[in-house]
Amino acid sequence: MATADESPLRQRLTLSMDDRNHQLILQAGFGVFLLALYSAFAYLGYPSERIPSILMIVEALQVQIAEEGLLGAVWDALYAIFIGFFLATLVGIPMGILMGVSRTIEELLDPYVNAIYVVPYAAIVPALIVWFGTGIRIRVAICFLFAFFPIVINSFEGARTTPEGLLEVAESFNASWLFTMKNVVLPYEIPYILAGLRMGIGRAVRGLVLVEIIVAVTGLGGLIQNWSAAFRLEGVISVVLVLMFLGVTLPWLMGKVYDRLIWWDVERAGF
Amino acid sequence: MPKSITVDRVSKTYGSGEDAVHVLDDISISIPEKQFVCILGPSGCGKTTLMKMMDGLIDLSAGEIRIGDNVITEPTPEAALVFQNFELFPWRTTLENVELGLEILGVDKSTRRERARTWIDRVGLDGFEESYPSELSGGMQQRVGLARALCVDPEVILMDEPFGALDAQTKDKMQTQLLQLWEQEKKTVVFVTHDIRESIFLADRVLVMGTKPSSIVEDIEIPFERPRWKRRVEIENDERFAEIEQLLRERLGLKAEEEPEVVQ
Repeated sequence: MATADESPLRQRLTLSMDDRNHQLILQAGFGVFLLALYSAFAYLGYPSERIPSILMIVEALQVQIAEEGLLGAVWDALYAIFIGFFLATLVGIPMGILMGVSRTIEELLDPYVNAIYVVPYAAIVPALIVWFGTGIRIRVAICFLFAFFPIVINSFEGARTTPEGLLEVAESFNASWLFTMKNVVLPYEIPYILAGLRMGIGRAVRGLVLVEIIVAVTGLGGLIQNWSAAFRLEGVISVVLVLMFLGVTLPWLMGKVYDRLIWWDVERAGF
Repeated sequence: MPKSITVDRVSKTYGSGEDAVHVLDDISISIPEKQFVCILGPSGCGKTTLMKMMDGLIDLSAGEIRIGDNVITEPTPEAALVFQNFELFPWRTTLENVELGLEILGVDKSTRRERARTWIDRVGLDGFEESYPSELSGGMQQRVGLARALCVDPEVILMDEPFGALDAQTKDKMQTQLLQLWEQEKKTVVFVTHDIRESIFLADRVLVMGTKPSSIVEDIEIPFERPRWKRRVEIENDERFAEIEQLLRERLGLKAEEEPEVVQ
C-alpha cells in the first residue's frame, strides 16, 4: 500500500519479480552443480556401497514406493506432524495469551514452561515409548512437544507487549474483558502467532525426524533401520531425502499462509 | 447536555510508607459546563494523572471527582479521552477506529457507521474512511482520534496533550479546527498541555499546576471573546496576550529576562 515511503534498505530487502527469477535460476543451477559433483565422486573409483550413485538412490526410492509402503509411512508422518502441530496450536495460543495478559498466570506457569522447554527429548523417548507405544501416538506426542514451545512463547510475547495505550483506549470506553481480548489483544497478536506457527511447524518436522530415528520400528524410521541393517546406504539416503523434503516444504507452505493472512504488521504500524 | 466537572480535594499517592510518592496533593477544581479549560504544567507534574482520574482510568487516593452529579469510579461514556500519541488501532480503518466507542456501547452497525461517517466528515477526513492509520499523516491520525472521542457524543472531552506530537504548522491547523468544532457545539473540555500560547489561544480559563506534590498555583480567565478560530493573528498580537503569556511563564518558573548561560 504505502510504497512511497519505503526506505532504500527496505527496497533492497524486498526482491522484485526479476530478482526472484534470477535467484531461482541461480539456486537450481547450484543444485545441478552439487549433483554433478556428487555423481563424479560416486563414479570415480569409490565402491558403490560407500557412495551410492544417484541412480541407485532413485531406484531405492522406487522400490520403497512399490514394495515397502514408503508413501504410507510419509502419510503417517504427515498425519503425526499435523495432529501434533494442531494440538500444540490449540493449547499453546490460548495459554500464551493468558500468560501474556495475566501476571498471576504468567508467574504460575512460567517456571514450568521453561523447565519443560529444556528437557532433552531424546533422553525421555524411552519413557514416551512406554506411555505411547511405538506407533502413531508417540509421533504425535513428540511433534506436539516440539511445536508447542515456539507457539506458546510467541503468543505470550505478543499478548505481553500489547501497547498500553491501546488497552487504555478500550478501557476508557469501559470495554468488557472479552471485547478487549477479541478486539485489542488478539488482532495485535496475529503477526506474533503466525510467526510462532511457522517456527512450530518447522520444529514439529524436526521432532518427527528425531522420533523416527530413535523409535525406528515402524514408519520412516523403520525403513531407515532396515536399509542400514543391510548396509544399503542408497536406501538410507533416500529416506533421509524424504525427511529433508518435508522439513523444507512444510515451513515454506506455512510462510505462504503467513504472507496471505497478514494485512498489517507491527513494523508498519510503527510500534 | 454538557456537564460540569468537580474535582473535590483529590490526592494521589503511589506506594506506601517510606517509598510513598505524592503525585497530587489536595487538588480542588470546579469546571462549569461548556467551559474550555487548559491545564498547564511542566512534564511530570501529574496533569496527565489528573486527567486520567477524571476519565476513571486511575483510582484516587483521596477525594472525589464528579461529572455532573455522578461520582466517577470507572470510565463512563459521558467522558471521552483524546490521547497524546493518538493510539489508533493499526488494523482498523479510519471508519472502524471512529466507531470503536459506539461498538463497545453496543450500538448497531448501520447506526454507528452513519454516525462515524458524520464525524469523519466534520473533522475533515472525508475520503479517508477506508485508510489505515499507517497511511495517514500525524495530523490526520489525531483527527481520527478526535472523531473517535466525539462519536460517542460525550458530555465532557478530556484531551491529553493531543497536539504535542505534531509539528508546529499542523498544530496550528489542528488548534483552529478544534476551536471551530467546539465553537459550533460547545462541550465541557479539559485540555492538558505544556504549550503556553496554545493554552491562551484555546481556553476560557487556564490552570497552572506546580510540581512535587502538585497543586494548582494559578487560575486565570482568558478574556478574548468567541468565536476565536478565525482571529488567531489578532488575538496573538493583542497586548493582553503578551501579558498573560508573561504571567504564565513566571508561574511555571520560567523567567524570560534571565540571561542564557554562555558557554565559554
